Amino acid sequence: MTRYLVIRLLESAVTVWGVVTIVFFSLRLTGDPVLLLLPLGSTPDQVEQLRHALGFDRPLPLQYLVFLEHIVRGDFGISTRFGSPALPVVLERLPATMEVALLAMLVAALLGGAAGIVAAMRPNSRFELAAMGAALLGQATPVFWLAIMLILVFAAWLHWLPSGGFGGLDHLILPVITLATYSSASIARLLRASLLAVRAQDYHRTARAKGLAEWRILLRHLLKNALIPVITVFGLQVGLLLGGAVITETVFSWPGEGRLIVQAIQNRDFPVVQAATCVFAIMIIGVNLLVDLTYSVLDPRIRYAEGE
Amino acid sequence: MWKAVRRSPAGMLGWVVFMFFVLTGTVGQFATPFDPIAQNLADRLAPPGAPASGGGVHLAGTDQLGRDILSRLIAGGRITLAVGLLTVFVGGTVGCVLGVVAGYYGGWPERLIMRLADIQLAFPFVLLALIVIAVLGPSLVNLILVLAFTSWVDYARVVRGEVLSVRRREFVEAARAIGARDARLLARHVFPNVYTTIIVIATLQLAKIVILEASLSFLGLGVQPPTPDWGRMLAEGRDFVATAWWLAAFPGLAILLLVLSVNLMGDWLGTYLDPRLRTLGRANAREVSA
Repeated sequence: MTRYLVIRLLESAVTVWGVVTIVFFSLRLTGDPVLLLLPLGSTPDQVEQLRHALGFDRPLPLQYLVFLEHIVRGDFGISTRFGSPALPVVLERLPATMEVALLAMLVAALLGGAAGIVAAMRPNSRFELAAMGAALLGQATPVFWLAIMLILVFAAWLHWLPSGGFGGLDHLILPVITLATYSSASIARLLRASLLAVRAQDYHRTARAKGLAEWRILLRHLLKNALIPVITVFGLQVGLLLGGAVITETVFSWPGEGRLIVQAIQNRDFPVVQAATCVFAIMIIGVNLLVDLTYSVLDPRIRYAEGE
Repeated sequence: MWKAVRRSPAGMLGWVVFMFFVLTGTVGQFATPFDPIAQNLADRLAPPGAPASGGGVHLAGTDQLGRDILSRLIAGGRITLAVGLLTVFVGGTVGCVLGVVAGYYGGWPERLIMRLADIQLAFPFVLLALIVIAVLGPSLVNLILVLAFTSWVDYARVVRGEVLSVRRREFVEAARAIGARDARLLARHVFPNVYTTIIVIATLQLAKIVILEASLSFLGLGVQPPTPDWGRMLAEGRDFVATAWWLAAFPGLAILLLVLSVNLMGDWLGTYLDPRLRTLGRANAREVSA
């Protein structure tokens, strides 16, 4: 287990390094980042001065090494828009994003989980039809459209909820619904399919033959086995949720990471873009590492004694 | 195949709606009720069903510049479909080739490709596209490249897995034993066993890409005006949502319907093309209709 953990941690470190490298070189693709930082119409002298000050006159491999060294120390440079170090600017917004994302994940797990279980336990029922129909719709609905329609109905027409901004619980409801819809739908569909597959197995028939109560079979025999693919997807959903946060926060003017990134990209505030990308990547890689470790708890056959 | 379509109402619905979008996206271009980019300030923000000042009816209303929304939806569908299909082609080709290389040859190419896939998966989909478009500048070609770049991973991972399992089967061993070369093995024995999976992934990818393309256009990084585009129309309609809901409602509905039809087709294809599922007969039809 320890050996597996060490290997996985090393692999994760390599992945983070890869993300950082892609970010570094993608921002150099267009050629001169200095021109992007200066206002239009700057004199060649000013350009040269800034280039030297930021170290862009050095050879690219050297720049890359310096960049890596700074990042290891948590130094992503100074935000051109906020005039302060980029990493704190990014971390400051993290709680607001987590608030929505975690709530959305919770809603998705509960709602999607319940719908998936009932649909699988009552096949061919009206409920199954309704739940799976809703799930299909949920998977096809564009996040930003859902957001706008929710604003239209609940803010503009009914005046029940605020249309955006940061505040109390009522400000959270619409963004959370928006963000949770797609994930709930995927989880419901996957859990249903996975439960149906498990129900076809011999041990399910054995458990029934023993006369166990249906809910007991569900908890002790079915869910444990059906959850493995669901948890894998849950790990992948983190990436989707964070991506969805970019759009949800933009529409609801929620002061989180997603809106920060969109604004930073529009303002060409690249230190912030780089820092935020790295923070996102580390979160996604971390969650997927946790997901892999959860497998061994759910399924003793996967123990990772010999590494992968 | 037609029989199998008829047996699954949901699958059939998916095909019918998708073909409708293909028709409007190709032939419909020449029969839009109004010029999709002609402005008519006298008729601005007309509600759905309002008569046009020059004769005719704006069935889906007009936008803030008096452009007919239905005509713009039809014109925008062409862009969405073209970008989606081209992306599926480019991303699918790259992903499949890399997946085959990784699964069939193994060794360091496999490790490199799979590590790249992991790195890619650690990037939120939208974020990567945002950065690349912001750096390269928004244009149709960049849009397709970026979308293709974000979509190769799914193909590569699944194809690699399939190739790995096919490679060790007896018929491949046998073909190798009688001296077949790699190219022949791949084309005659491996590919026929993985192409159904590829088609299913491609369908699901198409649905994903339609939404991603609209998201990028929504954020102003996709198709540039005056070309009509569903995501862009939505973004413009957002400012008028309280007074003129039809501006944002219809483009979103179009995206939803297209994605839904593609997903239904994908579900149906998945069960139809998988012989293991097809033999289940009744269960198969139920699976698709759910």
